[in-house]
Amino acid sequence: MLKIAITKGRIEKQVCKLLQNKGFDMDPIFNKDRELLIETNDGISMIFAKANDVLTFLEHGIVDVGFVGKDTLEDSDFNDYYELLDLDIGKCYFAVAAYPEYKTKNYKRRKRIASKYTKVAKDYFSSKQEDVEIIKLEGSVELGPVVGLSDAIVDIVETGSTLKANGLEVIEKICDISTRMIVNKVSLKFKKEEIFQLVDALKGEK
Amino acid sequence: MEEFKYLIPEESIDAIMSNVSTLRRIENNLRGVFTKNKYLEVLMPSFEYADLYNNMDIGIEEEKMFQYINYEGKRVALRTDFTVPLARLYSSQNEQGEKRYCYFGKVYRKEKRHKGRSSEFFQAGVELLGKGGFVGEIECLNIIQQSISLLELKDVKIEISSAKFYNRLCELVDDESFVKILKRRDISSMERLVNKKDIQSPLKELLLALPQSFGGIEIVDKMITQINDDLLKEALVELKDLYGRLEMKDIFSFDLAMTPNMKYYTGIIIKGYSPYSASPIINGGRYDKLMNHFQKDVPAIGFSYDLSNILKAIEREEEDNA
Repeated sequence: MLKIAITKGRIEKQVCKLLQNKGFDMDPIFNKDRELLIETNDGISMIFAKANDVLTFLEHGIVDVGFVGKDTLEDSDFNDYYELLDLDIGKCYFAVAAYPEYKTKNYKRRKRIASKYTKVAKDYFSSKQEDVEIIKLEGSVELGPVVGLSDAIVDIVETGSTLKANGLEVIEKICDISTRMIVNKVSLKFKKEEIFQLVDALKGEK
Repeated sequence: MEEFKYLIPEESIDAIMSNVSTLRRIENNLRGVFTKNKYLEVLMPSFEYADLYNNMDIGIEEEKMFQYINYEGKRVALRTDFTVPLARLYSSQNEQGEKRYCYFGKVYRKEKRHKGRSSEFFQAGVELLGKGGFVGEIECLNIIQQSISLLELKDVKIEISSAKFYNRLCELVDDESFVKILKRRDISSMERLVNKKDIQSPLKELLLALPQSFGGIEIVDKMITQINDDLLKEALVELKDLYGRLEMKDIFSFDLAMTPNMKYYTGIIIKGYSPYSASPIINGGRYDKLMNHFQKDVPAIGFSYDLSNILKAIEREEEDNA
């Protein structure tokens, strides 16, 4: 039996829809109430979890396959997985955003950057050979510059409307994000057929 | 009551109690096989200069080592791996020619907090120094054959690949993103790379098929007929020849997308898996360039059993079949 973990919320909806289009039996999922573990008639068992927990379950071999956003993978220290497919859905990107004057202002001190994705922020500024102070915020990161806590933010941008509504703009795009299918390394060896069946089914969708 | 009287540090694992007899039994059985093959058991020290590891790029990040500054002001690390200290031993004893070492003991690597992972790993393994080519490889694989049933696990899979094949692929593709893509077996990025670099057949087909190029000898056979690069072909024909000389063929399979976890690998790479362990239980390969680091030109091959993972796998297998 193939065990799958899917990130709750937007990714869950998109991936389940995609699987249904590909002929997988997803009715038990769509009809679920508040259960966290569901078995479908295709012999797949699915759990729904927060993005980082999908990685944790996969790392421990509790599930064989995970569906997570590239944002989660980029910000995680765990790298012992195969990233077989880019599903090309849930597309958005990481960017540095700030008030327009950020670009021209000469900061005579270490810049302060607010982000939920501290590793992404650190890696990005390090690649620019720039030393900055990174402050972790858990949500509504735009508040950083708005309330004067930080000079800029590193965050996921989908439409950019929240940025715009707060007078902020994208200073630089860091990298693209989309939903990925990841696989536990040992599972790939023992469930090759089932896993590549799933890959082939999902690949056709592009 | 003070905390230290009932808590243990996060780096620590609790005492192993129920499984000690299993661990010792497996250890003793392995020791039997190793000594029968004339491997000398070495009891390695727990402390090494951190620089010994740092200068070698063995695939273990520096922050994973337990280190302190000693009285000389030098960094000392708890043993992080056995291969590097054994290479040092061979070099400092001014050994020449063939030398067979085996070892049993723990290695220490810091793990991230709250990940449910241990920082101590029990390992057993062998190093065969000074014996190059097929003979050394067959000797090592034979020891694996002789010892595999002693692990008390069902369905163990041993996969072999070739660092020569991998190194040549890196040369041919010549793109810095390639290694990362292969490591991740990222089919989508591989497609993009092949298009971006406008890679032509038959290399194109090879690369696109690579993420799933693992399985029986037929995988190697098929690829040999499909490629036209002489060096790639040579590497695969070597794998095939090696396979032809093995006795118990059925436990071995191939994974041509395997990436070596240190840059010293030159020949075969070996990995072993159990369906009950989320990480490999056997790691090894030929690393003829390792001794270059000690200004010596000596071929080397070795592998290790991760006994901590094996023990966990045995437990999970028992639970599953209970």
